[in-house]
Amino acid sequence: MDDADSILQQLQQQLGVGSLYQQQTVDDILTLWVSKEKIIPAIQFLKTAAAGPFKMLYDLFGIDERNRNRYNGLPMADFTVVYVLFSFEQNCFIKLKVALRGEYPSIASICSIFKNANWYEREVYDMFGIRFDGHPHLTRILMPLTWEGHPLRKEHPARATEMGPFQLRDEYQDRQQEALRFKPEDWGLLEHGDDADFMFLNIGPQHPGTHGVLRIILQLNGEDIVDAVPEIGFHHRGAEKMAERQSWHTYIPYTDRVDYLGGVMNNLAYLQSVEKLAGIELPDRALVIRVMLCELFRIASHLVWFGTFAQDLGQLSPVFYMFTDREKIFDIVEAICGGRMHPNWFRIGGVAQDLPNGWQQLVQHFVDYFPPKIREYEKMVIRNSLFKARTKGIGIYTLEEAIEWGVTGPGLRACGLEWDWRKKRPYSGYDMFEFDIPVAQHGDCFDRALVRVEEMRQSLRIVKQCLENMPAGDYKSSHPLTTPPLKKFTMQDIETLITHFLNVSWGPVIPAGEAMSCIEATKGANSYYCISDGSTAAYRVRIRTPSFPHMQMVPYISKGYTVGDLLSILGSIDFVLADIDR
Amino acid sequence: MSATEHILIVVGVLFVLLNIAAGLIWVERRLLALWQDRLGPNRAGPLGVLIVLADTLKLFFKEDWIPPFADKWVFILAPAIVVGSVLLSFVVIPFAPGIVVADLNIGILFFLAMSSLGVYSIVLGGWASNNKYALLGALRGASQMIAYEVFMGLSLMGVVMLSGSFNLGDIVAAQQNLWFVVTQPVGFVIFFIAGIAETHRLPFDIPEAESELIAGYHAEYSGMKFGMFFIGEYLGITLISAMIVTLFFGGWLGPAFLPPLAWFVIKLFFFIGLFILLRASLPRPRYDQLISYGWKIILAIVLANLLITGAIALWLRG
Amino acid sequence: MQALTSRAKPVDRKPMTFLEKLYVWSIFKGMMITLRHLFKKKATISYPEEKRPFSPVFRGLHILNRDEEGRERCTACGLCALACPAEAITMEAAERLPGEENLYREEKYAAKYEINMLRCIFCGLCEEACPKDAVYLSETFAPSNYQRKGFIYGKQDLLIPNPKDNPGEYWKAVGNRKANKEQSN
Repeated sequence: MDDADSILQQLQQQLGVGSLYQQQTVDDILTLWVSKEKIIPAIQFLKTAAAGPFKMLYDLFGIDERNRNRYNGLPMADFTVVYVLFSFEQNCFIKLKVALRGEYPSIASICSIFKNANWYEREVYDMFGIRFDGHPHLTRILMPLTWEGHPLRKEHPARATEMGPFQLRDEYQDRQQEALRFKPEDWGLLEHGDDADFMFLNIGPQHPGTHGVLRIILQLNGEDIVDAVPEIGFHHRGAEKMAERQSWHTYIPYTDRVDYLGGVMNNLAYLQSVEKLAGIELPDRALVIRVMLCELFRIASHLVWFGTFAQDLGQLSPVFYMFTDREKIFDIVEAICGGRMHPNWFRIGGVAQDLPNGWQQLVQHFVDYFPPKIREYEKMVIRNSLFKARTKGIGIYTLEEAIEWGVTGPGLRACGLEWDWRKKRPYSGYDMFEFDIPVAQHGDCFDRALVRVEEMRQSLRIVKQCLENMPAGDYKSSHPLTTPPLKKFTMQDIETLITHFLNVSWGPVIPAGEAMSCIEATKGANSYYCISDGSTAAYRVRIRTPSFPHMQMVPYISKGYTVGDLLSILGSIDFVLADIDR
Repeated sequence: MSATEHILIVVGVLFVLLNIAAGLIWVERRLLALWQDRLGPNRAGPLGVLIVLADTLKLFFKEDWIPPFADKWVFILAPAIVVGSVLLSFVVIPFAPGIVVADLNIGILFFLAMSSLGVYSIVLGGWASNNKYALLGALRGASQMIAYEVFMGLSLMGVVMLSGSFNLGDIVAAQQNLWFVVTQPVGFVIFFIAGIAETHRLPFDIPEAESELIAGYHAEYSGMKFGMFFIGEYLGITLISAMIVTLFFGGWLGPAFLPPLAWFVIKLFFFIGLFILLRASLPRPRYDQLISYGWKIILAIVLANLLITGAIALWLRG
Repeated sequence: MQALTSRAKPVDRKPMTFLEKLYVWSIFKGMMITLRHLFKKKATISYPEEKRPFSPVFRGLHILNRDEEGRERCTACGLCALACPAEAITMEAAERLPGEENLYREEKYAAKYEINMLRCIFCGLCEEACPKDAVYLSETFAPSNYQRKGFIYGKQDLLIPNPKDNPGEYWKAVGNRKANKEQSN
């Protein structure tokens, strides 16, 4: 923690001693409360001047503090805005919190410092009604423009049944339709250029190339993209709001559905932070089982990406071959978890069940089967010169741009930075495994594809190591907060029966505190920031997903290319709409 | 040839062609499926052949929708052009000795003229739809087809030089000893590439480009009007395959144990299969890449081919 | 903690050769790969006639279980309803009357037990919560219906056939899950 101390000292020198307050959190991340006036200089200083600068705005979100019953000496606040920055040089996070008072408070925007703050601040405005002064375009981003109220405020109902019956009247429908109309002048886009009229092409929400309900409005000069405006939120289900009404335990199935290609990977990100709060250490067997499942899902997710990417470029067959192989992975997943895309299989303190009899044969069969398949696909897609022509030099961003826009995962590694959270900040026992980090140099669509293909090989290596070295022991921790507890601790007598009843009905009481996890999910860094009030449900869960900043970058990297290239770019980014909108 | 015979040939050719085009619905779907590790439509009738009937019925019973913002008459005219122009091209193709609708002595030129007309259906259809996607598709289609028409014409000139005739029957007869694919391999490859571009099939289906432009120039079409584009595309494949067979693979010529018509049909279906295989395996190039590939690479090769063929032909005649 | 290996692996990226720029060769190679698939075993199955095997732990539609003597296991404690994240389960408890011992195993039973399959997300938390092994998720799936109310499964839809009266149907409904379990016990 020397680094953290020196950052604290530097910040204190910069801002003055009185304006900082350090909060203790269980995740060992330096957490500082900064006064509202000092936030701009603080972030400016951290981004540029500090030794080992914090160049990436990792996350930005709000908290409605009005119902909170424990402060433990923290600054009083009605709302809090949290800035999470990351420094690659120091491999270190920092969290800055700003306490805001009042019903609809406002704070200075940091869009001028970090480009990717734009969407994050819009999201906070949308969810809490907090205004950001100086923001270039502060409008709703996830909710419809006509929405009343701000969903993550505590007074906003969490269920549709609390809001009265819904009726679609004509004038209501007209209003909604009108709100969906794209007005270029709202976005500062010109309708006429120097010598040409621009065409505004509406791609989506229903379009075969957008992989879900995404709308991108293109400003076109001929077929060249002048500018693009992505519109997201069509897949917004309020996963963060649901966390506040579900118990810690019954929220797990909902995490499955955030990045629905990542499966258990979402469970892991959520449980990492819950287990940090609860202080649960996992037995080795549980860790290795988790790693094995995660890597199987990484391969499955990359296969979907690979197939659909080829299909976006017009190649029809690979997607069928790859979905067939993904089905083979799902057979393993189903034999272990019982579910397929939504396994709901990790539990607080372990996994739901031990591995079934005969799992070794299943996994062994896949480990033997898959490598020649990757070779075939590589030959078929990657080495095809038409594919190269469509992807090389398309959608380029540099390493600096990637960091500035908050890109993580394969997209970052394709720019030459060898950064994998599994290696750099090992979690869940990833330090016990041997694997390489694939990197590429050019940061274009082709390199992003190469990195992902190589990642499948590395994941297979990890699965193989899990298979060969699966430790014996319990699949769940014996910690009292493990939910549900190991069978040997339940339903023996009335005492253990009550434990079981309480555990599955109200759910476990997780000690008050806050913790953030960070895992290398299939698409980049996925974090769950859990705040517990010492209750059976989370006070606030913030889900930082990789696809959100990646999508924000699309207009920036698609300018100057053509409509056809936009599809290459979208395909190479590998986003999931549910992961963007949550 | 008597008038009755002539009428019989015309009706027969029309009937068979339309059936082949419809049958290709089934052939393409089954073949694509087999290459993609699946089975394809196999429920309706033996091996699923009746899917052709089911698909056609479906198309007939779909609402025949003309968008209120469309230019009505042009909108209706466009799909008719594509079917009409392709069917007219078949007039000059000699399927077997004696089975040809019109034995024109400028057969190749007639074929080229008719295939140029096809571009009107794309442009008019895209324009009349009054839809941005359709417009983009139409513009792409126009530039693609105009460019590749040039190479298509040039690639055939080698064959014309060697056979000394524009008449397709004479060209087939000139291949009695050696198919022109042997003497004109470059011409064949380029004619094939240009043929894919002319029929705008994957990998050159840039005017429709499903993942980019949804359906491109026929995005607004439904029912049988869409069906006309659909049939027009299959007729186009058949036409290009028939031309390849006639010009480069000896037409109806083949060992005597099968009748000439059978040889023609076998060769024809081989190339139709090749078209479908191409669709199964390749990504589509970008629109500007396709055009620049044409003008920068194909044009150079085809002109060189013409020059060399001409020189050799001159030298051979001494 | 130091990771075992932390070497980066640069991916292979060669510039395009002239042959590649002509595309014809790569078009040919691509076609060969696809062509080879013509002779491969097909991955699909003819669905309604042929069904793929499910794993014993597959989470499909629910089944309310009986014990060996054909008595309902459920004691209407309501844990499954509480554990359900989607709030799909409702039940009403009733007390067992004298003479009903052959119907219900415990003194209390579920007079009404409904699962709304449209709300259900098939997560299996009810099965995990049940202290009496009374509810479990079977291998049946893909129900279809013309009306919403057809998806609200009552007790008569959920209860497993009585092993005493109808052992054949009972074992069929149990599927290979319980059969496996009982063999291994």
